[in-house]
Amino acid sequence: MEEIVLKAEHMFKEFGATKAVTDVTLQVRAGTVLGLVGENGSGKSTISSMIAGVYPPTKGTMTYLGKEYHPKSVLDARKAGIQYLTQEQGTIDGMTVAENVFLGEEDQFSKVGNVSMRKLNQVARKILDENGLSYVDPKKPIETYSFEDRKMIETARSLSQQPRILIIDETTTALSQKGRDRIYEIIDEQKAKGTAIIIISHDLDEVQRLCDQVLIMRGGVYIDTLSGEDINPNTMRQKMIGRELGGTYYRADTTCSYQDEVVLSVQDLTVDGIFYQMNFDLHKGEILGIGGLSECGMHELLKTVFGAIKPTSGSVTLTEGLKGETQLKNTAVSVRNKVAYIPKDRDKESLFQATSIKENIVASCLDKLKKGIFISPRSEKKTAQKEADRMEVKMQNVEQMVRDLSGGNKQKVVIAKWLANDSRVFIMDCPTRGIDVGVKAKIYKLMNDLKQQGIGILMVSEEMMELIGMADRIITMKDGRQNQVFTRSAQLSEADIIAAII
Amino acid sequence: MSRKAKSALKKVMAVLLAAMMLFMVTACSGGGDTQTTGEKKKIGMIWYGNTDAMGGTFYAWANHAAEVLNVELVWSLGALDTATELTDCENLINAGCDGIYFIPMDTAANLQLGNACQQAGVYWATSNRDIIDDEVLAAVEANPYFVTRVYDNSYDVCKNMVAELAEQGITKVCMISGDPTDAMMVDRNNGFIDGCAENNIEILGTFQNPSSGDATTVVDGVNNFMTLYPEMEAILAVSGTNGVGEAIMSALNGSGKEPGSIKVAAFDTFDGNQEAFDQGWLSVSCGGYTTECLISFLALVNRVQGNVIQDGVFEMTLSPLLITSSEEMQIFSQYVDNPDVQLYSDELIQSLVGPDVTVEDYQAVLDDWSIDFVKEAVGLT
Amino acid sequence: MNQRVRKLLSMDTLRKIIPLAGLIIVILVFSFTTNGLFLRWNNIQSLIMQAAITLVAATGTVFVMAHNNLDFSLGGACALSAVLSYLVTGGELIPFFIMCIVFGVMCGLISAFIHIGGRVPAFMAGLCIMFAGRGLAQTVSASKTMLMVGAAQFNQLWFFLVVLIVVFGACYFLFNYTKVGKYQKLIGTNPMATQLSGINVNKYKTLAFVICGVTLGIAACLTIVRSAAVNGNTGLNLETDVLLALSLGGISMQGGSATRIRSAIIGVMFYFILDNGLLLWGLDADYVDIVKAIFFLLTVTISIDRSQYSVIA
Repeated sequence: MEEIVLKAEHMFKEFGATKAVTDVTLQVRAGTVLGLVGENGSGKSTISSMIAGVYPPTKGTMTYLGKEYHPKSVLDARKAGIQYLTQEQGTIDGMTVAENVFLGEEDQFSKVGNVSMRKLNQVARKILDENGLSYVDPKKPIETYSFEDRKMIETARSLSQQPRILIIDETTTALSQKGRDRIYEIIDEQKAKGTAIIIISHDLDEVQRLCDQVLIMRGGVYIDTLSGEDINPNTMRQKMIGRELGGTYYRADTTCSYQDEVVLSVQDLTVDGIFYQMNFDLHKGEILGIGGLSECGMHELLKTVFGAIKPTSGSVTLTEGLKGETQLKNTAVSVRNKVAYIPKDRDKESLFQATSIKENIVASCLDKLKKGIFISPRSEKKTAQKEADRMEVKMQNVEQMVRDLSGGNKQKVVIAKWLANDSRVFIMDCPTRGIDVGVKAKIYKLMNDLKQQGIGILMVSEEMMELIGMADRIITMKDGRQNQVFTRSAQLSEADIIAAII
Repeated sequence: MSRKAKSALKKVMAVLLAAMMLFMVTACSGGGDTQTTGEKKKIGMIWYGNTDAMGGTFYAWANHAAEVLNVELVWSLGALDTATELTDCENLINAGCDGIYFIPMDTAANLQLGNACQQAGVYWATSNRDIIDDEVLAAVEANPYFVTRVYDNSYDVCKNMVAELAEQGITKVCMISGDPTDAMMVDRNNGFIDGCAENNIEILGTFQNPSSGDATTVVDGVNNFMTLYPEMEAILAVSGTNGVGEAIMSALNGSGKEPGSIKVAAFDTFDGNQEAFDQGWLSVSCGGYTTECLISFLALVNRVQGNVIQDGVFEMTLSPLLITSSEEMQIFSQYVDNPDVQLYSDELIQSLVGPDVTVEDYQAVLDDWSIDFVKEAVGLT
Repeated sequence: MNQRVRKLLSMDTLRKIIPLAGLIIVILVFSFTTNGLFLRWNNIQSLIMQAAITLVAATGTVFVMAHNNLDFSLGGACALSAVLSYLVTGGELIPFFIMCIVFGVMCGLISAFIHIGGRVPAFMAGLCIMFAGRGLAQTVSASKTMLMVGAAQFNQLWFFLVVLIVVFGACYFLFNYTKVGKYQKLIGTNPMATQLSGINVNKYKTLAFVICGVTLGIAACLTIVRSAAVNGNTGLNLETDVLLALSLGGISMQGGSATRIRSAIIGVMFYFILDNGLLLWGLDADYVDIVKAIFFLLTVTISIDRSQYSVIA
């Protein structure tokens, strides 16, 4: 068997009263891929953070390359050869690509404290080329590139340092299919080189495909290690949740069903350079899915429909607004007319992190709560409590800060906010992105409930199975243009849709 | 905030409070006798700052005089507007001061600080500013706690400056005049104009000194004088501060004329005035106001110590001292407004506080203000 | 138990209580070390009246700071509104007060317009107004004496108390119990999410500047009541006084949900009590500023929220 690169034994981590990790032991071997799987808050990120030097364990020992290992910081771990890729942005705005590539290591280019930019750019060029990023200009500021490119640049940075261990923490969740494929390639290359790899992912298919061994965690506790045939989505899901999942993960029915009445009508909607001539109607009780590659313009389309981006031409009409037919010209009009928008980038676009759950939930419905201009704290609390309970948010109380919640619970808060406003139309952009199966199932059930109430849902998803599993109709987009419409049926397969969008 | 955090907060506060109380009890028992240090009178000094020449000099002079006269001074530095002066004044009164001295930042300051002093029964005196509003003047004069005010006599000095030029045989001048709405500037304008009339000097042209202190306007104005009035022999300037003096000199130096062929009489001193005297351009200047502050302060101390000079209000004026040569300029720069130089002796200071002191005694000291006095005080004659 | 003690003494708790604790400590220290001078009714009366101008201005400024902006216009805007109001009304008392507030609001609107329309940070707009206002006030006062002797009759405790209670009460209500205040905090926390929650960010930012303008106008009125004249130095240093006082009061520099309106009252009282108490102590004038600076540094160093300044590794 391959050499054990790192052993972490009897690891504990406590944050105040919260026990994030309790007595977990794991080992990584050279040239193999270890998957860490569990629901949000199961402690898988915590344990990898400890290995990567983000914070020290409360108790436990780590042995790395035969020696005791106590990283003082991320930089320390990096120097030792442990690279950590997360789902968050790891690059710094306002600096060039090259500066980002050598962040914290500019010293090697400095003469008497003066960093040689020319040399820095040259070496960065080489590293980018080696990682298939020849189209990236190292001299340009990092923010000129998309999230995905930046993630790739960050990855290139990590690989350039010849890691012995590579930790990939939910990195793929934020990427398009193309980006994911590139990450898979990298994993294969690194595996061949003898690098030990730890993957954390919610995408169980991905885990099945990539991992040699899978360690399952639940509530901070070690559950099981799977290998070989046992690594399949069903077994993993069961072990993660600790019970059998019913067959109704997605919608149970396989027929397209919605009422005749149109709630939202999009006509000739165009934003120059992003998408063109979009035409569709959303009906009462319909889940309308939109699928495509990440850059096809579908995310911007949803923002435009909601009124957050000004279209070049075309219109978005709500048929039953407060005052009859209403054009959704801006977000204020949309929300006043009970349209909800759940953005893809939860942390950046929909949450008030250092703010209580209560204030997050009531943010959009203060008009409903106010008497005159007065908003009573009691009514705020009551509404927040009601909606949080309805979404089963796991929390101490509604005064708790949102930033302390896990990803799935954060998303529940976002949805609760729109339920509190009695929304009649939901626009959802990747509503289950980065969320564990338990909460995912809850969100699917909620979508189905909303559909039964006659609420229209417009949903973009990058997961084909989600679209097939939930939508009544699926509109596919390619290069900013509407291309095909699929109607719900049992025969519809992932391959059909992928064929349409690529 | 969670209930737990709240109760934690309360506990911390309680502990803090208890600790403070304990500290207080000990501090209190030890510090109860600080105010038993006799009947030393306290004077509150509202002063704009002690870092420039005049500010530092009066700060040093007043501290020295306080030592000589055995009074305590409490300084409140930095006020530049009336609201802040009023705040300082209230704080000084509350600190137990028996008298308040200040330079009114504007005419209304007399009214506001005067009211505060009257309500508290505290004497007050001012210097360096005249009162330009009749209503305010009436209120000040009706204030029973008002001691005195000393202000500049610009008019006479301006006349003297012109007389000095006349002695040098000058008959044709141009004038840089001051803001006609500013009482002090009007005094200076009139001083120059009346001085010219008395000495048969013709004023060829006039332009108003820009209140913004824009140097290029002054340079242009002087150049215009030279072009329009080639027969001009001298320039009168109501102010040399704010870069005006320097601007006049740079215009003259750039004119290509023989240095000294045009004489300048400038009110107030400026940077480079020594050089200007040496070159021969500048022939008369004036300056030095710290004496006003000292006399006003001494009169206040005198009143606080219970000496009533006269029933009514009294006011006094000071003429800034006249500088007419390079040597005098040198003496001025070296000894006037220098915090390290005490121009007034301890005996003189003591003689100005007492039951027999009269207004004339004060005015005599003010009138004595001249280069000759300075020379004598520092032992140059 | 050990954990709770640690939590109690944690930097976070300390940070939250230090402004109030500091104020209480300062009050106690001065109460017991000034031979009773500090607690005399006259002194308390003076303190209230001195602090009023800054407190009124600071209360409105909290709204602007809550949505993560700084207002540097205060001093200049105060002079500007007073001068313009004098020019328009000729110094007639009641119309003067009203116009002061109107011009105060105008200054706020200009800040908002430059900030939102020109996408310029509001403190830049504020700096422009400050210089323009100060410049105009000095130019006008150089050619015109603007005495307001009549205003002095209001220089009395009851007037200041009424104004303070009304302004602070109204702002407290607006800030904590209405959309205007709540939205400022949301915008300060995450402007993008606020916009995407259907809130007109620009409108509410503008409203914050309007409120700040109203309080500024009232502060200008109080300044005139205190100084009985309008001139080039009216409201000098108001902006630095307000910002310093708010920092002392532990206001969140990035705005957001952590912003509390009580920072205004704690900070301003702290600031003026320090000034007053040090003078009552009879501390040598040369040391007063040094002692103040040390106090400020200590309080602000402990109380400032550093979560936004963490370095990314």
